[in-house]
Amino acid sequence: MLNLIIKDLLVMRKSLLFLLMYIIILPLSFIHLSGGFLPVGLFPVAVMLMNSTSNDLKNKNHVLLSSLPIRRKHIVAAKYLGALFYSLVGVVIAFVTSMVTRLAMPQTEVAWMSVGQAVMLLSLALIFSSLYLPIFYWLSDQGMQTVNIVMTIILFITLSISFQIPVYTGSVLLLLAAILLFLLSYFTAVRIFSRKDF
Amino acid sequence: MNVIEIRNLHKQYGSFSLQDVSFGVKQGFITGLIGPNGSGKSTLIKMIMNIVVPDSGEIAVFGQKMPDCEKEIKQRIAFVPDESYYYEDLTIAEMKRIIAPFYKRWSEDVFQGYLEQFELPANKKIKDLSKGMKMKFSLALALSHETDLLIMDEPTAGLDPVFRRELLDILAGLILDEQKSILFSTHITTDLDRIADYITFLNRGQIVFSEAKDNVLERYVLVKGNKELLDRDTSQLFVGIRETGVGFEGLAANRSEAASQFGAHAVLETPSLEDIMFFTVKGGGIRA
Repeated sequence: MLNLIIKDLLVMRKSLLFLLMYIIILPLSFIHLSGGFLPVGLFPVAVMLMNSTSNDLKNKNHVLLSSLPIRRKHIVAAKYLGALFYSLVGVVIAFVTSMVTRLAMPQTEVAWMSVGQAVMLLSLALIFSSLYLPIFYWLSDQGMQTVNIVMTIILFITLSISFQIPVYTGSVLLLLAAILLFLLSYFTAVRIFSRKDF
Repeated sequence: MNVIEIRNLHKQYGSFSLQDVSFGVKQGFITGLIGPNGSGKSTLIKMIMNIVVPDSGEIAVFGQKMPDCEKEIKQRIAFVPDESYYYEDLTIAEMKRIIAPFYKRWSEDVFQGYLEQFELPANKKIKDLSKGMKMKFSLALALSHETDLLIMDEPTAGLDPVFRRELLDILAGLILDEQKSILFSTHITTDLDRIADYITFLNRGQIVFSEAKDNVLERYVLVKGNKELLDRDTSQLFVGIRETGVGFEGLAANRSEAASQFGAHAVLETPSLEDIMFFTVKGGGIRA
């Protein structure tokens, strides 16, 4: 299973340059917003997740993966662990961005990043992944077009909901809910994926 | 001993279905799965590998049930799919780095040996490989971990005649220790003429026969004669008939019966596997 996560990272290396573009340009655009850490942290997560799933579809890799000595539920588990990893990376990116901004441009009033905000970001990233992955497995036959459109819609919904939630209240509760949703999502995805034909 | 045992397999795909498929693949031999395009060969093979999920039925490999024991079973299977499903942007070496760790009995030396033998440069991107080279790469990957069963889906399709023969020689060489088994699907019957021991013939989702190649060739007979010999009763004898300008050609499934009916009046020949496939698939009378 670890092999699969390494595989996703190896494959992502090829599109790293493109990813870096997102990671650098986005913070610069959103720095002045008080809720700015959200897009800065969430977009990289979405992009990395989308990248790893579209790579699988592009080459019809599910045929290859299904032929390897590995259980289908572990193939799905690896994707979810990847999503967890990307979520953490997103939090780190948002944190680093805020530090760099504070040091480089002290005149800018950047109010982030506190622990509460980091927890909130993590929760939202997990929620996004929990919504995205089962849909990806369900609709993957229709090709990446459909999945990407659905993903973009979900991303904007997640962002607009989050701009309305006050930042400091119920952070831990949100995280717990997110983790629960994540697990539920995993079991759903395993059920969908186990019945698929490739 | 059957290395693969299939019982009452069903699969419905829209208008196509595999119905009540049952057969066994014998250990230590080469079994060829033949059938026309769309007969269900690839689907059957994918079901054995649990790439496609059957609607009902049982599959057992090495005596263990699929998909319950799929992890242990697949460690011992070398699988070569009909197309290349690798990450096109990666190189051969990188792709190997992804696949090799899954197999406990991977041998790097054997893999490098095959790369040399097939003349595959390790740093070439997969999208830059020709079709034949992709097949060679699939083969190199499949053969580099110790396996007891090699399953190949249309391995010779699209290959040049030179490599096709090389491939068949490699397969024949693998079988020599009588422990390994090979199952491959094809619609190129001449490949089977060359190396198959057992033949399983699939047509429109159903098994026509599954037996030793020599048996098949002894059992079937091609009857060539004048049209007058054909009447309603005698036509029943044939699996398929083809009317030519000078008479008719018919495939009969029972040589002794055909001999007693037509022996004196017509020419009886041993059919090729291609004849058997042609007449069975066509069935009924056809104008030449």
